[in-house]
Amino acid sequence: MRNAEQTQNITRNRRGTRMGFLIFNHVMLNLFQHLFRSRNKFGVTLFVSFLIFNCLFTGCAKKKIVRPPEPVTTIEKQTEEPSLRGKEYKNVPQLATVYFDYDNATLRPDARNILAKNASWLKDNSDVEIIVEGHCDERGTTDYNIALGDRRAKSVRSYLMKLGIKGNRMATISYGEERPVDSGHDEAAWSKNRRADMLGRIPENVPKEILNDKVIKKKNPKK
Amino acid sequence: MKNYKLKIKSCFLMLFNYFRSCESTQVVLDLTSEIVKKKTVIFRFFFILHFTFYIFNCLYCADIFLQLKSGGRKTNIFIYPTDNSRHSADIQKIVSEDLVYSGIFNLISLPPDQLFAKKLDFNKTDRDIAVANGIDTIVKFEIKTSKNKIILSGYCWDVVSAKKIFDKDYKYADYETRKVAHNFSEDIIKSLTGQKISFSSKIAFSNTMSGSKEIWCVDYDGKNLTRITYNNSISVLPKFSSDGKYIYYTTYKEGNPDIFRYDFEKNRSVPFITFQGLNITGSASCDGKYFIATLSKDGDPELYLFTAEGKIIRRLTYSRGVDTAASFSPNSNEFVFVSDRGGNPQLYIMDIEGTNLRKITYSGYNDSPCWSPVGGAIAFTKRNGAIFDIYVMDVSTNKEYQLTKNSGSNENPAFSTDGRRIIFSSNRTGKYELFSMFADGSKQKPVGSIAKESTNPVWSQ
Repeated sequence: MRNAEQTQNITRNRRGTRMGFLIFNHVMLNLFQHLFRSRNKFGVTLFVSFLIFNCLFTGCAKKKIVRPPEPVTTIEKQTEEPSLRGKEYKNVPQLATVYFDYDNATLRPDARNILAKNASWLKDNSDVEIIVEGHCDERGTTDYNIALGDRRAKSVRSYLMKLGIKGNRMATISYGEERPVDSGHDEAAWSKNRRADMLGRIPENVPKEILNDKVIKKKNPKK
Repeated sequence: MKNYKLKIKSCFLMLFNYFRSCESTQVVLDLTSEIVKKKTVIFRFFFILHFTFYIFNCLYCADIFLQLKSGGRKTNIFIYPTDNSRHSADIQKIVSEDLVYSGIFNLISLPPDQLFAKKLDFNKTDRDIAVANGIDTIVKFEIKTSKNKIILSGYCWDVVSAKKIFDKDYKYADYETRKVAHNFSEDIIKSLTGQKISFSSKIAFSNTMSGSKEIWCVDYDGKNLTRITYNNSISVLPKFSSDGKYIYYTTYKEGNPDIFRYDFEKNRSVPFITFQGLNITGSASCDGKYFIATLSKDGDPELYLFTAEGKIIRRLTYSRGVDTAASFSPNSNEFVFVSDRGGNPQLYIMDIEGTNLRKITYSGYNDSPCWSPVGGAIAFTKRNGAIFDIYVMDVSTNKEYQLTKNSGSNENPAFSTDGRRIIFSSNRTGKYELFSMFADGSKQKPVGSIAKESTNPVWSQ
C-alpha cells in the first residue's frame, strides 16, 4: 500500500518531466524554424543529424537484453536424491546389474526387464535404500567417463522412479572407469565394465530425522 | 557484450561524422570562407579519429599471441665447474640435462688433453680451445661452502665476442641443490635466448602404486617423486592453481566424488566443492580469479563457474548430455570444453559469461582438451578405432595436427607453462605411463620410470 505522500510525489514528478519535455520541444522547434528561415543549410543539417543521432542513441540505450528464463528445477521431497556421504552400502544379490552399449546411457530392452524385476523386489522391501553405481569401460578419458557413468546411474534411477520406486530411496554415484569388474583390454571385458550396479542398505536414522525436524521446529518458533 | 555495444556506437559515430563531413564540404564549395574551412578540417580530424577508434575496437576483440619457435642450428654450449667436488659434478649434470631438454643447446665434450683454466675468467687460451672445438657459449661455475650455506657463482661468456653474458650468485642450503641448479639453467637460457623456460615446474598425476589411486608429484625429469594425498580412496584429475600453491583434485574419500584442494604450504587437503552428485575438477583460470567445475546437482553433468575461493558464480551450460573437461584460455575470458550435445563428444569454446558458444571439432570422438598457456593451440584426444591419439588444433585456423601415431593409446595431454611441451599418458609399453614431447610431437619419451599406472598428468604453472 502506498501512502498519500508517495503518490503525490510521483504525480508531481510526472508533471515535472512532462513540462520539461514541452519546453524542450518548444525551444527546439523555434530553433529549427529560425535556422530554416535564415537559409543556413549547414545549421539545418547539423540540427537534423543531431536529432537523428539522439534518436538512435536513446533507442540503443533503452533496448533491454532479453534473456531466456533459467529452467526452474522444482524438486519434491519424495523425488529428491539422498546424500550418500558417510553411508555404507552392501551388495544385494537380488538386485541384478544392468549393462550398457559403448558411449551410451540409454537402457536396452534387456536392461529394462532386469530393472522391472529389481523394482518389484524394492517394492517388497520398502525399507531398503539403494545406491546406483554408474561404471564405464577403460576407453575414453577419466572425466568424460565419470560424467558418462553419472548419466548411466541417473537413467537407471529415473527408470526405477517411473516403475514406482520413490526417488528419496535411491542415490547415484559414478565411478567412471575407476572400478572395472574385468581388467582385460578387449570387448568381452569392456562389455562387463559398462554397467550400473545397485547396492542396498537399511537406514537406521529414519526416526532420528523425524526427531530432528521436531527439534528444529522448537528452536525456531513462529514469529 | 560491452565490446559489442561499443562497436555499434563507434560505427554510428563514424557514419554520422562521415555524412557530416560530406555536407560540410558542399558548404565549402558554396561559401569558401575561412571559418568553414577550419570547421571541415576539424570534422575530418574527428572522422579520422572515429575511424581509428572503430578499427581499434575491431582489433581489441581479438587477442594476439606471439610465440617464439626454435629453429635452425642449435647453440653449442660447454658447462665447466672450477673444482672437482661431487657437489659441483651433480650441478653440472642437472644443468646439462636441463639445457639438452630445452632443445636449444648441444652439449660439447672436450678431449681430455684440452681443458679450460680452472678459474672464473675467460682468457685467450680458453678462447682458442673453445673456437677449436666449435663452442659458442661457455658456462663456468664455482662452489663455495660456508656455514650451512652454499654459494654458487655462475658465469657465462660468448666465445666469438669474448664478452661476459651474465654472472650471478646463488645462496642456498644443501637440500635445495636441484632447485638452484634448475634456476641456474633457467637463467642461462633467459640471458641467451630471452625465453622463459621453467625447469622447476612440477607434474601432478594420479598413480596406483600405493594400492589405491592417489595424487603424486614429480619433476619433469622423473626425479623428486612425492606423494600428495593419503586418502585411501580414488583420487583423480589433479589441476594446479595459477600460482602453483594449490592442487585441486577429485576424490571419493567421503563416498561421493568431491573436489578437494591441497595446500603445498600447509601440506594438507581441505574440501573445496562438495555438492550433491558429481563434483569434477575442470580448470583454474590463468589470472587466478576463476575455477570451473562439472557438477550434476541439477541433473546432467554441467559446467559451473566458481570464484577462486569456491563460491559459485553461475551455471555455464544448459545442454542435454554431458558437458565437462573445461580448460581456460590464457586470457581467462573463455574456455574449451567437451560436450556430447550433438551425439559424439566434441570440443566447444565458450565465454565465461556463458555466451558466444562455438563448436570447433566436427567429426569423430574428441575429448580432454587443454588450451596452451601461450595461446594459439589446443591439445586434445581423438579416438582412432579402439585407441586414442593426441592432436593439436591451431585455434585461429581450426586445423588439426596429429602428434601421436601407432604407439598405443595416448590420452590426457597437458601443456607446459611455456607452451613448448606436452605431457600425456600412454600405454605403449603395456601400462599407462607418463610421456612428454615437444608441442610439434617430436622427441616423445617417458618421464622417468614410475611404478604402476600413471594417468591424468598436468603441469604446474
